[in-house]
Amino acid sequence: MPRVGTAYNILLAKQHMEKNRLAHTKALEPLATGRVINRPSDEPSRIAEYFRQMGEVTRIEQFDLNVSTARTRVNVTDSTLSSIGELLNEVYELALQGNDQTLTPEELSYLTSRLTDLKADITDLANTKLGNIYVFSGYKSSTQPFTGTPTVFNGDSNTINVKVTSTKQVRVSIDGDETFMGGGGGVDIFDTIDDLVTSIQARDEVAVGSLITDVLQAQDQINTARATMANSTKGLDTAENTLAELNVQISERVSVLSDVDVATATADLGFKEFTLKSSLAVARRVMEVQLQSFFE
Amino acid sequence: MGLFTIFGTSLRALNAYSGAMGVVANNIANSSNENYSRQRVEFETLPPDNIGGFETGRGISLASISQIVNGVIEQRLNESTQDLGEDEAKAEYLSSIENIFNEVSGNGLSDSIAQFFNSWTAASAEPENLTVRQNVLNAATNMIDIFHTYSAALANARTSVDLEIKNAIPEVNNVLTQIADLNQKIVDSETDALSLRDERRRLINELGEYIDVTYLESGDQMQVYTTSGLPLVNNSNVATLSTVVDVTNDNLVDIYYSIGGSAAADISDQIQSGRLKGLIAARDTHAGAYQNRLDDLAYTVATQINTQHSAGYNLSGNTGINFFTAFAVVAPVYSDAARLISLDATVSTTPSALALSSNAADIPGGNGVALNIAALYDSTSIAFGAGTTNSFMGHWGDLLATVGNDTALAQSNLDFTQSVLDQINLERTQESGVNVDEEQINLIKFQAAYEASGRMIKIADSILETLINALVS
Repeated sequence: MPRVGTAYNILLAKQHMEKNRLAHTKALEPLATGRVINRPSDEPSRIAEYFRQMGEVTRIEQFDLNVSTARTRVNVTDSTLSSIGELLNEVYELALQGNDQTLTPEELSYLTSRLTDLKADITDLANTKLGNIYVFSGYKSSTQPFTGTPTVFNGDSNTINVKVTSTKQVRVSIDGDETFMGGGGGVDIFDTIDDLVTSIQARDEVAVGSLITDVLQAQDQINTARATMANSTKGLDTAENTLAELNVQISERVSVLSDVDVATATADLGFKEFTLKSSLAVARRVMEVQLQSFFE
Repeated sequence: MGLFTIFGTSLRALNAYSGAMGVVANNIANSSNENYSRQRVEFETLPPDNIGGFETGRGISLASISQIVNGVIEQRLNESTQDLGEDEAKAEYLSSIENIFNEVSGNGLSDSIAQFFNSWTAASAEPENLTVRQNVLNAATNMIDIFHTYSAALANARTSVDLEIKNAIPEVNNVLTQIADLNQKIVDSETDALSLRDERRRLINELGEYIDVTYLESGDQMQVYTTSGLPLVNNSNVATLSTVVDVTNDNLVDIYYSIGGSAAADISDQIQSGRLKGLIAARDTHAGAYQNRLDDLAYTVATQINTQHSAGYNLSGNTGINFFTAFAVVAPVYSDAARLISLDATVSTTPSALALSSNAADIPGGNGVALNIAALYDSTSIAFGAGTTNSFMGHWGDLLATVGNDTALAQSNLDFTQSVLDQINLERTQESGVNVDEEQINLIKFQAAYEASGRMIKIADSILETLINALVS
């Protein structure tokens, strides 16, 4: 029969009390912080994924900002093009009115003066700035794109793309040269208006008729540019939805990886507390049982 | 039997039981001393006298006082103490090192790397915007600060471990000297020197907390060796351990050994268990490796960004500009990179110096380089200095997982070793520990025998008095 040293039970009780107290403290931490991952050793197999997902959460925030930045630029570009389109409608109507041999000199003067004003307005719009950036200059965004008479283009044909997800870029600019100057086979809007003024003043019906066709083509160029921006808006909407869905998915995953299950953690704490109290009670009882106690 | 024989026999019994009660008293006094081995008395019946052809007993005497020591348990206890020393050191320091990587709060390197690449994504959307460009520099500065913080904290942790190693060596030498002194005292003692033997066993266990030892107890002498066979206490020879700075290991120390005037030799790699083993592992195998991987990350971030950035053009049309200061060419290439990483002086305070455009003609709206740098975040084929391939976050996540795994494993090993040691301590307590109940029963038994012997003397005295009175009258 094995003998039991007096210190045996005390040592045993001490060892178990220490273990149970440590377990009780550990069970408290998830409830105190709300997280099961409080340090890498808590979940080593999940820690890499946890921080990768946290990095994605940060990236989604940045991509959301990029979407916002891109949308501002697309909206400014589109509204500018819309205004230019409206001005071109007026140019078209004035051109039709100007193609009339019965117009009085005063009427002709009014028409040509109005056309000159419209060209100036269109030039101003084509030189629209967003902050310090000329919207239609391409990469040469600090250079005024349309200057001089005849109007020359000082920008470049590069298009600005903004990264809105890890795999998607959205175009936020149009080619100023192509849209306004007819680069690539279109019509030069500014030259067309200048020519209209000259032809109307000269009562050149053939030339005005041809220029009316050019105005229509100019409107097509503007509409094409607007369609590009509409496509960008659609791309931004898609990106925004994708980011929102991704945010939900990643947040759920982060939650699964790190958030504490309060019910389970509370039950675990209760169990650890019960075990600790039991070991304390047992230790007290064990220490009471000695032969000396019965002699007294 | 003569009347006077009763006096002699009873006196010897009184002495024997008095001595036995002394042993009981000593046992009870040491009942809570974990290092004490309970003592047991052995009585012997004295050889009888031959009086007139009759054998008459001469009573009892105390033959010996011995210790109840189980050599196998003591050996296992010592081995387990060595394992515990190693695992405790690892768990303590790895837990401390783990806390360096303050990532869960959201202000760690993970977040700063993500923010840094986010700033390039933002810059790609507005390359002309100086505020956005400044944000790139701010994010880079934040990331650099965290690299510096982590690097310094790891270096401090390694230095702390190194300091403990330096402080432990004199303690080990002191214990070795004490064991040798006890050997001599036990040899010189005229008794069994039981308390000195207990003290020597305690010292062997204390030694085992620091370094792997094995011992041979032969007669009064105890020879002590390392498990690889180096003598630590060999008769009158006592080994001396010392520390020597290793310039190839960040000026941290190696442990050297010498005995009997021999040339000191590096035994750092031969230490197989004990706290010193755990300290060396925590300092070099773990913290040193983490430092290298952190350096590799800093080096690779810097060189990858520089490769892209130096090919780009800044707002002044200049090219060939590094974003981070280029590292000196050393081996390995990433040496000390986390401590040294910094912004290149050309860009550090000049947002317009950031080269975001792929070619000069695209200034200021060109964003090709900014997009290329932003895309590095998603690349999983970044070549690191140590020859591995990963993403930046993947490399960092792997390092954190390694830190977590190492710490969890160290804690798990410590829990296991502690349980084993607890169990062996219980076994030792069962074998060598004092049971106060048992001692009280022995006390009652010896007390009764003592009182009975005393009564015998009184009876003999009474008889003697009767005889004397009869003669007188």
